[in-house]
Amino acid sequence: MTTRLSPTPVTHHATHLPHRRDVSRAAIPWPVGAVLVAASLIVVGVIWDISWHMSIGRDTLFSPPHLATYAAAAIVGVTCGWLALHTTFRGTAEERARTVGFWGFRAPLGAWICVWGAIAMLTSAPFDDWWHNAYGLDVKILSPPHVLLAFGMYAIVVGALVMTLAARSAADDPRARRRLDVAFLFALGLMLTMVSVITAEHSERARQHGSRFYVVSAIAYPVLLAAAARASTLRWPATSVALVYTLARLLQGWMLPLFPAEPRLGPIFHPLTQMAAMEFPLLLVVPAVAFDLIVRRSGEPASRLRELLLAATLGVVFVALFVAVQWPFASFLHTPAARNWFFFADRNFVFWGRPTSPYRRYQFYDLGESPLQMVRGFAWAVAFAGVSAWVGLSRGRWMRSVRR
Amino acid sequence: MRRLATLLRASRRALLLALLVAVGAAHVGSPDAFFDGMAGPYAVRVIVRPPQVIPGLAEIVVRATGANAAEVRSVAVRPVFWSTGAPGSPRADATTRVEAPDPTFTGRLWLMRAGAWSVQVIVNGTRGEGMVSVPVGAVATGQLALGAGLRVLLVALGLLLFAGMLTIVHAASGEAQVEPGAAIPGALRRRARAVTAGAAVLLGLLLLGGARWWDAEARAYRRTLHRPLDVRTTIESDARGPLLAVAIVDSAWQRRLIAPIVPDHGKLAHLFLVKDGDESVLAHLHPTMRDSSTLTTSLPALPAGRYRLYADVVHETGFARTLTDTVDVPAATMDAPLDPDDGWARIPLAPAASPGASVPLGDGAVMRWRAADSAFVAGRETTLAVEVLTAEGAPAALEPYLGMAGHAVVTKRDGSVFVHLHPGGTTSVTAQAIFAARDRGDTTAAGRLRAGAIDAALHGGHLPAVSRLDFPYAFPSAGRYRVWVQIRRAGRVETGAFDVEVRAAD
Repeated sequence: MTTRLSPTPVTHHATHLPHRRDVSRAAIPWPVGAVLVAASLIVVGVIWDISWHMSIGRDTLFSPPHLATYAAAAIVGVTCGWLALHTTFRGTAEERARTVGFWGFRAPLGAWICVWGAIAMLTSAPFDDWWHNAYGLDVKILSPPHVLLAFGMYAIVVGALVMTLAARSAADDPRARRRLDVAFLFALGLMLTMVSVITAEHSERARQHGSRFYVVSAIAYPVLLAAAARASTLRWPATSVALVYTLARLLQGWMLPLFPAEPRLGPIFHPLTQMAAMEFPLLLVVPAVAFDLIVRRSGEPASRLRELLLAATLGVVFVALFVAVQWPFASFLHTPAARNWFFFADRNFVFWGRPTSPYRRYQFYDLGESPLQMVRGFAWAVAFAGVSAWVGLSRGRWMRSVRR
Repeated sequence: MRRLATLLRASRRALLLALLVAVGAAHVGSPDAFFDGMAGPYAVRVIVRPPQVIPGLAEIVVRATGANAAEVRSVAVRPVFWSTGAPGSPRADATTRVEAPDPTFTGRLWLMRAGAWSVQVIVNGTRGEGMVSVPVGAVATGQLALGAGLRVLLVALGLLLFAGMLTIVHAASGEAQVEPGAAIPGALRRRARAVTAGAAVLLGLLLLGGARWWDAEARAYRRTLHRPLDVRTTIESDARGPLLAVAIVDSAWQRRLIAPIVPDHGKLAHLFLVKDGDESVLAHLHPTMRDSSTLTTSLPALPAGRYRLYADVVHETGFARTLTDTVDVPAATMDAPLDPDDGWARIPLAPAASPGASVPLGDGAVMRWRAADSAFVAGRETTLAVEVLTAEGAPAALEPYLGMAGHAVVTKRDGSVFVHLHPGGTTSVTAQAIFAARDRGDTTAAGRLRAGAIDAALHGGHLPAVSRLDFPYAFPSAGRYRVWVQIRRAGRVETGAFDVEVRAAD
C-alpha cells in the first residue's frame, strides 16, 4: 500500500485527551480489530457467494460462503454486544466517556452501527426466504430483500470504519494512530468493494461503451474517494482505497478460478468446470490519484463555496479520467489478450449465459444510444459525480469529527 | 437457529395455504404429472409435482411397482430443459427412500425456467440401470401472500431498524462529535435534532421507494404467471352441417412467440367437448388446422346446449397445453364425415365409481369399475381401474385406440378440473419422444426438431390386446367428478362413465 505520513498531517484531533496512554500500547484495540476482521469476512463471503451462484447455482443455508457471512455477523454480535454490556454495566467513567447513549445503553457509535447491520442481515433472512417462495428463486443481485441484506452488510463495514475513527481519535501514540489511519483506509476500501458488488449488474464490461455505466459509476464511487481524500491524514488516501478495491477484485479473479466447480442447476448453457469470478477491477485508481492531488492542493475546507467548487472540479475530473481509461480498457478486455489468468476475462461467465449472447462473444451490448443521448448521459454523469464528491467531502469532514 | 427453522416452516405453511392457484398449462386445475411404465427393467410409478413459482422446486415421488420392485436399490432424478437437453443438465440427484409398503423414493429438483422440462428418473438395482424420462411443463401459476405471522415479524423488525437508524443518526451528528467527557453543546444538540428529523424524512422516502419497488417486482412477477392462450370458438355452417372452428387469437401465438404444435398420437389436437352443467355428454374429436391458427372439425349430432371445450396440444418443445373455451352447440342434423378416431357419448346417469359398478357398452358388453379403492381423497394417489367384459362375462379384446389401450378423461362438475389420462399416466408420449430425439441430437442448432425425428411416436406403438385398464391419478381437490373412459372394440370407439365423489384430505 502506498500510504506514507503526510509532511503536514492534519492534527486537529485529540491533542487534549483527558489521559495519556502507555506508549507500548500501539496495537489496534481488539474490538476494532475484530469488527475489521468481520467486515473483511463479509466482503470475502459476498464475493465468494456471487461466484458460487455464477458457477454452482444451488446452495443451502449453510453453504461455505454463507457461513463466512454468518461468522462475520456472529463476530460483530459478540464483540459489540460485549462492548455495550461491558461499558454500560461495568465500564469505568473513562470508558463510558468514549461512548454514545443508545436507549439507555452505552457503546461507541461504530458498535451501534455494527449491531444495526447485524439485525438488518437477520431481518433479510425470512424476508428473502419468503421472496423466493413468492416470486421464485432469484438469479439477480438486486431485489428488495437483497438490498436490505446489503444495507446490513454495508452497515457492518461502516461500523468498523467508525470504530476505527473513534479509536484513532483516542490514540495518542503516533504508531497506533498511523495503524488506525491505515485500518481506516482499509475499511473504506472494503466499502468501495461492497459498492462495486451492488453496481456489478450495471458495470459489465459489455456495457462500458454506453453512458449508463458511467452515470452509475459517477454516483457510486466519487463519494468514497472524496471522503477518503478529505478524512485521512495520510498522503495517498483515495489512491489507497482504490488499491484495496483493486487488490480485492484481483485476488478473487486469480484465486476463485483455481477451484473446481460444476453447475448443479439446469439449464446449463455454459458448462464450466472451475469457479467463475467477477470481472477485472475498474480502473478507479486513476481518478483516485487525481482526487488525492486535487484535495491535497486545495488544502483545508475554507468555505462552503470553496468546497462546492472543489466538488464540481472532482466531478469533472472523475468522469473525464474514468472515461479516458475505462473506455479503451473495456475494448482491451474484449480481446484475446485479456483471456488469461491475469485479466481473467474468460472466467466471468455464468453457467446460464447463452453462448449466443454478446457478452459470451466478447462483444459490447447494443445499447441503442444515439450520440445525443450519450452526450446527455455524460453530462448527467458529470453532475452526479459532482454531487457524489460533494457528499463525500462532507462525509469526510464528519469522519474527522468522530470522537466516540 | 431454532427460531429461524420455525419461521421457515411457518413460511412454507403460508405457501401452502396462501397460494392462489391459477390455471395450469397442460390440463386444467391438475398440474401434477403421473407416469406408469418401465424404467429399463423396472416398473415404476412416477409423480412429479411442478412448482407454482419459477424458478422453484418440483417434488418427485418414484415408486417401484412391479414384481421385481424389491430389486430396486436406489433412484436418482435429473431435470432436463428442452433446449439444452441432457448435455445441458446438471448431474442427477440421489433421492431419499421413504417408509412405504413398496420401495418409494422422493426427491426435489429445481426447475429454473418456465417451459418444457423432463425429469429423468434413473433406477438402479440388481438388474442394472434403467432410465425413463417424464415430461412436465413448468409455469408460474400462483402468487404467495404474506402470512400474518411473517408480516408482524417483518413490521416489528422494520420498526426496530427504523428507530435504531434514527438513534444512530442522532448520536452521529451530536454526541459522537463531542470530546470524551465533555458535555454536548446546545447548538450541536439542536443540530443533531434537525439532522435526525431530516434523516427520518429521507428514510421514510427510502421506505416508500422500497415499497414501490416491491410493488413493481410483484407486478412484473404477475406478468410471468401462466395465462391460457386466448381462443375464439365459433360454429360455422356448412352445406353438410355445422363446423366447429377454434381460432387461436392470442397475440403471443400470432407473433410466433410460441413454438408450433406437433401431432400427439397422430393428431394435431385432441378436442374434448363436455356438456356444461350436468356433464351428460362427452365428445372426443380431432380437428385439423385450416390455417396457421385455426383448428376445425365437423361435429357429431350432439344434443344442443352449452359445452365446455378443452383442446390438448403438444408444442415442438415438448410442452403440453390445454386450450379452453365454451361454445353453444345448436340443434342440427350432422352428416359430415368425422375422423374415424372421433368418439362421443351421452350418458345422463353414470354409476358411482365403486367396485363392480358397470356401464353398458354396445352388444351387451359392459365396462366395470375394478378398483378396490372406492373412497377418494383429494391429493391422494390412486388408480382408476376398469375392465371391459363381453356379454358372456369374458374379458373383451380391446383394440389400440390412438396408440393406447384406452383413454380416460376426468372432469369436475364445476368445470375447474380437466385432465386426459392414459394407462401410462398424464405424460404425452410425443413429448417423451421429443426429449429422446433431442438427446439423440435430432435437432437443429436452434433446437428445432428435424423432420421425421419423432415419427415413431406420432402413431403410437403396437400394443398387446388387453381388457383391463389402470390409470394413475390423484384428484386435486374435493368435489364431484366424472371419469370418462374410452376404448376401441371391433373398430368402434366406445365410452363409459363413472361418477366420483372426492372428499377433502383430513
